[in-house]
Parts: sequence; structure tokens; C-alpha cells
Amino acid sequence: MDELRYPLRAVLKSGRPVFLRPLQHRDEAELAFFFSEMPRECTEFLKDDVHDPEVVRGFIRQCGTDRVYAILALTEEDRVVGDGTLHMNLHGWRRHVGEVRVVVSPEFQRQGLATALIRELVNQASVLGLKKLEAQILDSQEGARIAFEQLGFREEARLRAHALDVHNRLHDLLILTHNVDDPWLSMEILIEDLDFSRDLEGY
Amino acid sequence: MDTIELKIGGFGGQGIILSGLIIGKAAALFDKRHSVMTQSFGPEARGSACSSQVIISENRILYPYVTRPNILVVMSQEAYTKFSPLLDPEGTLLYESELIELGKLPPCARRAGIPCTRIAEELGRRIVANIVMLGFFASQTEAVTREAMRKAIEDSVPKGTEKLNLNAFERGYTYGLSDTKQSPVGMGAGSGHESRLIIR
Repeated sequence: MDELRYPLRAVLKSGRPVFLRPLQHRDEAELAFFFSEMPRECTEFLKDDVHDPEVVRGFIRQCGTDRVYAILALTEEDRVVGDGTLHMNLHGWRRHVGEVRVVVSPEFQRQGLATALIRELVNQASVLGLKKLEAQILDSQEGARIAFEQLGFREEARLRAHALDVHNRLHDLLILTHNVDDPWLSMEILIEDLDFSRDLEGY
Repeated sequence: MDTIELKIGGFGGQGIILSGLIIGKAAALFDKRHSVMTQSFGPEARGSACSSQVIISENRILYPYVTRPNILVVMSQEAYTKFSPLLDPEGTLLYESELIELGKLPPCARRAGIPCTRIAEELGRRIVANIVMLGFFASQTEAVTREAMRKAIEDSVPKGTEKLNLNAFERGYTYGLSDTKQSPVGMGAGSGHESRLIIR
């Protein structure tokens, strides 16, 4: 069914179109190039050293498994400009929770691309039956915070002075969460509003 | 056939009105045809009767009410009992095969059933049963194109639910294309036959 949905076209605030689609094994070179072009200050808080080609190869190996769902954003020229991943725990007490991670090329930031990637991962979480999503950002990442909050993520915890940047400055780590059932509650309300909104001439 | 008269019936909370809206939107906005949707309600309580009517035409629609539906989609026994006598003798009945036991139908009427509630539960959300039915409707009638329906669904459901709703639509669509999966006709059924209604 995915092949009908993708590539998913999104128009950014700049008017530029991008295309979202799941990561495929053939994307290794493009993905590695994307990460290699990212400035260090944009990647220093990622959980993996994405400048290491072996790490990128690991991402590709995980592609298509039930532990990680990855989606890419590409330009019309097929250049990768964003990467979103949904990480899942197959067993244990966190098996209903997915972790969302998003990386966007600096020239495409603040244009709605992160929001588009996160929305697609929220959609996938519903398909996979997850109940809760989590994202970790720093207090200084205002753009990321806005993108997550637009999709219903809220700050649930704050770990003070938990992150140290390359300039030895301390940052709070924010844990944002999202209830996957919330959009479905909106659908229930929509249906009830339509089905019960007026009492006309009868059935 | 230039004009299609469609009636959808079920109980409140099944998404009957939303289904009518989606079909109307698919026809008018994405298939660029003329379309009118009207609705009626029973008492305002969960489980009460509710129906919507859609007319789709190549020409301007001068009278907005469905008088003799040539497609009837029913999702509850009550709706079937109430509306099946209205069905055009050569019309098509699409029904929730695990909630409805069929009675006699006009001899020429076509019928096809789908266990859309069970399929929706398999997808993890019972609330998408109506969207499964829409997929089935699209495959059985071709009253609207598959692509227009997909766009209309994406345009109508809350953000964050689009993908599962589209999966539900596709499940209904592929079920409809698979003749071997057609549900057996319920007990006491008339002599109607199963086939697809192609309108265009």
C-alpha cells in the first residue's frame, strides 16, 4: 500500500517542493553524502556519529526491519535534504513507545520540512499500533520544538544541564511526548459531530 | 449511466455522513463531476439511525434528493431493512456482511458484501470501518475513481490518521477486486447476483 502513498509531495514555505518516501537500500550513498554535508554543530547531539560511513551503513542495514522505520525527504533532483526515523522496542515495558528522530539540512530548516517528516512518522506510528511517541531535543532547539508541538508533542520531562555542546555550554534536555490516540480522538469527534450534529426531518 | 443516485445507511457513529462527504468531495473536487450530498439523522444518540445521500452526475444536478438509489450501501440491519425496498430493481447493494442478514432483493439487483468492521479491527481501529467500505464501494462501482477517493480521504480525515485511513481504503478496494473473497449471501437471500457495476 505504501507504493501508492509515496513519494509524498510537500510544498515548503519557500514554495519549493520536496518528496518524502521510505528509506531504501539503494539510498546509502545519498544518505551518507547528506550527513557528511551536515555541519558538526547540527549533528553533535545526535545519538550516532552520522559522519562515520559505517554508521550510515548500519542505518541502511536496519532499513525494512521492524526496529526502525526511516523516511527521507528529497528534492526534485533526488538530493536527500531530510531524514526522519521512528525507533521501536520489540519487547519489554517500552514496546508501546516509539522514538522519533529528525534531521534536516540547514538550508531547508524553518520551512516546514521537519513538521512534514514528523507527521509522516506519527502516521506510521498509528499503522504500527504504537501508543506513545517520544522525542528528545535541547532547550536551544526552538525550531524543532515548534515543529513537534505543532503535531501535538508536549514537554513531559526536562533533565537540567544534561547536554554539553562543543563550546562546553550546558543545555537542558527536553523529553517531548505525543499520545498516538489523540488524532483518532479527533476522528471520533469528527464522526460524532457529523452523524449527530442536527436532528432534521428524521431518518 | 450519466447520473448515479447513492444512499448510505447505518447507525450514528459509523461515519455514514463522513462517507457521503468523502464520496461527494471525490466526485466534485477530484473527478470534476457534479455532486450533491444531503443527510438525515435520527434521534441524537449513539447507535441511532443515520443516512446520507449523494448524487453524482456528468450534468448539473437540478433536484438534490435521491428518489430511487441505484447504489445502496448499508452498514446496519436497520438501514438494510429500511432502505432496501427503495433500491432500483437493477441497482447494486453493498453491505456489511457480518452485521446484516439479507432478505429478498429485486431479481436483477446486484449485491456484494464485505466484513468491513472486522477488517477495520484487524487494522487496529474499528473507527475506519466506513473507510474500508469506501474502498469496497470504489472497487465495486467505479462511480468515482480510486485516486479521487484517496485524495478526498486524505483531505477529510484528521492529520496523523491519513495513512491508516488510506490503508483501510486499500484493504476494502483489494477485497472488492478479489472475487474469491466475496462474502456468501446471508440466509434467506433473494435471487440477486454478485457482480460489479461499471458506471461511465
